[in-house]
Amino acid sequence: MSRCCIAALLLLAAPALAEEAPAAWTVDDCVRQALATNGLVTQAQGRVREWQARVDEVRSAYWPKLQAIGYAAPMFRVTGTPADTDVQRDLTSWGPYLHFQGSLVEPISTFGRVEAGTRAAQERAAIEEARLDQVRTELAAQVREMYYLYLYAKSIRPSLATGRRALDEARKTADEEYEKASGKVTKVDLAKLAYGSSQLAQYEVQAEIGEGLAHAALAHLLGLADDAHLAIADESLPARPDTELPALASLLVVASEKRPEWSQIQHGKQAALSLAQAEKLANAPVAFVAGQLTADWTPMRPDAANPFVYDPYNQLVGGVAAGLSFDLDPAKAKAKAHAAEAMGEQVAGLEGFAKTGIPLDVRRAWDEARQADRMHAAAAEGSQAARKWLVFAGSAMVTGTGEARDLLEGLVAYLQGRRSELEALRLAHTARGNLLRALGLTGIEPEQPAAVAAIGR
Amino acid sequence: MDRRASHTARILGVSLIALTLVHAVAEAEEQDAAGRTRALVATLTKASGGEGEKALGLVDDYFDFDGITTQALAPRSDKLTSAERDEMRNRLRRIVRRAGALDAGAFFRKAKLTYGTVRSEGDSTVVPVHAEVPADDVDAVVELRWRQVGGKLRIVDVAFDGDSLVKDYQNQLARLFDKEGAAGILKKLDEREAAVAAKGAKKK
Repeated sequence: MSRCCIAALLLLAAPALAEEAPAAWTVDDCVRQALATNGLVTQAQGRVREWQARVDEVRSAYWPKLQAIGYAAPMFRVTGTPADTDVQRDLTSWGPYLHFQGSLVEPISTFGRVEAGTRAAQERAAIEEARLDQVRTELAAQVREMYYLYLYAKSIRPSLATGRRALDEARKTADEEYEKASGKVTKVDLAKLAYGSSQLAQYEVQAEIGEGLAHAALAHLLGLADDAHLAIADESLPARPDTELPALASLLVVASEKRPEWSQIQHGKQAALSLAQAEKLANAPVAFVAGQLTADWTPMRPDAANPFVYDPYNQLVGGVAAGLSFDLDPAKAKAKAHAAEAMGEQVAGLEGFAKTGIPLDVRRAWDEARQADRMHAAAAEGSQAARKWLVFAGSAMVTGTGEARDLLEGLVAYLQGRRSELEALRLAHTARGNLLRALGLTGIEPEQPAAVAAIGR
Repeated sequence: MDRRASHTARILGVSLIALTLVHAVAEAEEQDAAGRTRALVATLTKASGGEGEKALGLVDDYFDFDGITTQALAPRSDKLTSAERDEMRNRLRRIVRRAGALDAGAFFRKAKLTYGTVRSEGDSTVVPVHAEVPADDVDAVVELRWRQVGGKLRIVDVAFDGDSLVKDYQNQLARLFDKEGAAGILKKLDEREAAVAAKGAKKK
C-alpha cells in the first residue's frame, strides 16, 4: 500500500469530536459523543446507506440503458464488385476499417416486478434504520455503565487513602508498643493489622487499575484514543435521583412505542411480503422501446450502393422499435418466492417472541433498578453507621476511655461499608441506564415521554 | 362584665407581648449562635499548629467545659466521691479542651463548610454545619448546641450525624466505671494525658 494511502487512512481514523468538545464531560455529553463517533454507530449508518443505495439500484431498472462498441482495424485493399467472382486482392495496400454499433433501451414496464422489488428494498432500509436505533440505545447504556464505573473507582480512592493513613499509623504504633513489650499489643494484634493492610492493598490496586481501565474503555466508546484525557464533570458518583421509578405499566407503554425491535418487525413483515411478490413476478416480461445504430466504413473495399446488397464494410443501418423481453426461469423464480415467504415466517416468529420478550426485558430492567435503589438505601445506612462507629471510637480514643480494637474494627467496617455503598450507588445508576435501554431510549432525546423524566440519569 | 372583659384583654395583651419578646429573644439568640459558630470556626482555623497553646486559650470562650464534663459523669456521679468527681472533671476537661482546639482546628482548616438552618430546641440553639473534605472522603453534618451559660452563649454538646458526643461520653464512662471503677477511669485519663504529652514532646 502506498504511503499516501496509509496517510489518508490514518487521517480518516483520527478521533473526531461531535461538535465543540465540552470543557468537562457530563454523562449526557459522553453519550452524545459516542452516538456521533463510535464505530458501531458508523457501521450501522453505513448499512442504512447501503440499503438506500440498493433501493436506487432496483429503481434504476427504469433508467435508459446504452450499449455501444466501436473499433478500428487495418484492412488490405480489394477491388471488384459484389457481383464479381474474380476480385483482386492487393496485400501491399493497407488502410483503416472503422466499425460502430450502439443500442439505447428504455424499459417502460416490468408489470409490477420492479415496484415490488423497490418496496422490499425500502422496507429493508427501514429495518436497518431501526437497527441503527438499537445500536444507539445499547451504546448509550454501555457509556453510562463505563462513566459510573470510572466514577466509582475515583470515589473509593479517598476513603482508601484515609484508611491507608490510619492503618499505617496504627501499625507503626503497634510495632512500637510490641517492641517495648508494653503488654498492649500481641503478635495476634500485629498479624490482624497486617492482614487488614493486605486487604486494603487489594482494594487500592483494584481502584487504581479500575479507574484507568474504565477511563480508557469510556474513551474507546466515545471513539477517542484510549489515552485521550477526558475531564469528567462529576468529581465522584452523583447522588441517586430521589424520584420514585415510574409504574411498570407506563413504562411498558413507552417500550411498545419506542423499542426499535417493533419497527424492525413491522418493516420486516412488509419486506418479506414485497420480496415474495417481486419473486413471483420474476417471469414477467419487460416492455421496452429501443433504438439501434450500426456504422462501418473503409476505403479499402468498394462501397456497394445497392440497398438490397449487404455490405459489411461500408454501411449505415439504424432504427427504433418497441418490444417485450423475456427471461424465463420458472423453477428458480418459484424457489426464490418460497424463500421470501419463509423469511416472512421467521419475522412472524420473531414477532411472537417479542410480544412477551420485550415486556419481560422491561420488567427485568425495572425490577433491577428498584432492587438497586433499595440496596443502595440499605448500604448507605450501613455506611453511615460504620462512619459513626469510626468517629465515636475515635472520640473515645481521644478521651482515653476507648479501646484501640474498637477504632480499628470501626476503620475496617467504615472501609467495607463505604465500598458497599459506592458499589450499590454505581449499580443504581447503571440499572437506571439499562432501564432507558430497555425502553428503547438513549436518554438524550430532546423530547421524552413524561414517565421517563422520573428515571433520571 | 366590662371589667372582666378588659381584664381578659389585658392578660391577652401581656401574653402577646411576652410571646413576641420570647420570639424576638429566640431569634436574636439564633442569630447570635450562628455568629458565634462562624467566629469559633474562624478562630480555630486561623490558629496554626505551631500556636497550639494559643488556640487552647481561644476555645475557652466558646465551650462550656464544666457543663460538658459534669454531664459526661452524670450517670455515675452519685457513686463518686467529691474528690474523684472533681479530679475526673479536671482531667476530662483538659483532654476535651485540647481535642476541641487542636484537632477541630486542623479539621476545619481543610474542610469546606456550609452552615445550615439554625433552630431552637428548648433552651438550646442548634447550629448545623455541613463539613466536606473530598480528599479524605468526609461528608458529615456536625451540630453545635449552644446555651446561655454565665451570661454567654457556649457550646454544651456536639452531635455528629444527629448523635450526641456528650451522650456517648456518658455511656463510655458509665461502662468504664462499671468495669474498672473510679480508679480505672482516672488511670485511663492519666494515660491519655501522658500519651498526648509524649506526642507533643516528640514533635518539638
